[in-house]
Amino acid sequence: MRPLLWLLLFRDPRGRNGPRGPGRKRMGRMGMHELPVVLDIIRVADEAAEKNGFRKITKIDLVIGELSSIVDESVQMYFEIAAKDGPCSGAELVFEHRPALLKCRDCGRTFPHAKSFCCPVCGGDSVLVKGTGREFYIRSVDGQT
Amino acid sequence: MEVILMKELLEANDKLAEENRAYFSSRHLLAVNLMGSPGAGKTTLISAVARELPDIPVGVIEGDIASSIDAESLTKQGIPSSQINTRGECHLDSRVIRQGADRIDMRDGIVFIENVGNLICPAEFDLGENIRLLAASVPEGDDKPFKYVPMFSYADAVVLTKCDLRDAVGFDGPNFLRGLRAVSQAPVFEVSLKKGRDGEGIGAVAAYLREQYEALATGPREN
Repeated sequence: MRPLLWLLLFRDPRGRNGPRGPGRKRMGRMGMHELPVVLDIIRVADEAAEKNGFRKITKIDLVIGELSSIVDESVQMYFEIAAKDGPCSGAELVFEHRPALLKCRDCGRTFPHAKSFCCPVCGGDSVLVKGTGREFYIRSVDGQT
Repeated sequence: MEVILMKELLEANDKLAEENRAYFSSRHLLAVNLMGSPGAGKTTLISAVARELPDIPVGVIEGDIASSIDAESLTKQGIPSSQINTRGECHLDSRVIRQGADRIDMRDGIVFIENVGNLICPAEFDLGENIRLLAASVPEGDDKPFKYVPMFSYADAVVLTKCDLRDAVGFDGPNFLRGLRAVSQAPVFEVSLKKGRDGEGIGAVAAYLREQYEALATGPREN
């Protein structure tokens, strides 16, 4: 399998480093389904605030798999609007991206997808481990009493 | 102060998906989430499969952002269908599936959930289905498995439609398969379902679905 073809795989689905350059906000896709997700994030964070006696939530750590179709920028955008006037208002969203897992066709080792599909141990071709890279959860929140 | 939560998002959808799963199981229904781009041939595929399986009841929960064109067309062919209009939402989610299921009220057979035409978002939302079937059409191009990894890795089976157009568009079958095999072991069924003609390749798709239907647990059922 030619290396160039593999580079097409997992091209950054969020387009952060697309033709307009890194860090540029993606205005292309309006992530409609990020809104219910954001409302869920706020609900969970508000519950954690109440349970722990926090007056304010200052940071929310999110874990998003690389094959999830959730777009960071859309989450950020909806969050800023929906969190206004609540305990989450002004909280920093931290996005941790998790790679999909690949399994080497030759030696059978499993490894996280970095840049290449080649096995880091034997150099063989690999395949995606089905179901991996789809995480989507709140790891933690930081709050102030 | 940091508080560790490890709380799944989309939990509401997943919880409802499990409820849908239990519903389908209790009624001995094989639920098939049929996904694909707009115009890939999903509705045509459903009609063709239904014709190939005259002894198994087939119903459809039809998802579109607007119009009831598909549900009406299927109903005219004698296939019970209920239309869900998402009014802009780019995919079906678990919440709306039960409404559609209640309307067709099937007690045995195969329920196709024809998802909104979209090669991206539906791969994020479990609906409670047994089978994730992807309709990928030849005119869309042989490079799509490389570009739409979440969807192509999500599918349990792929139906490659409009195969009669292979030469016309210069479709590279081995390249398509290379892209697919990098992310999935799903079987590929090649079909050609031109209007007014017998469907080529549809027998294999029908046989695959029949096999899945017959493998459903025959436990206690809701009567």
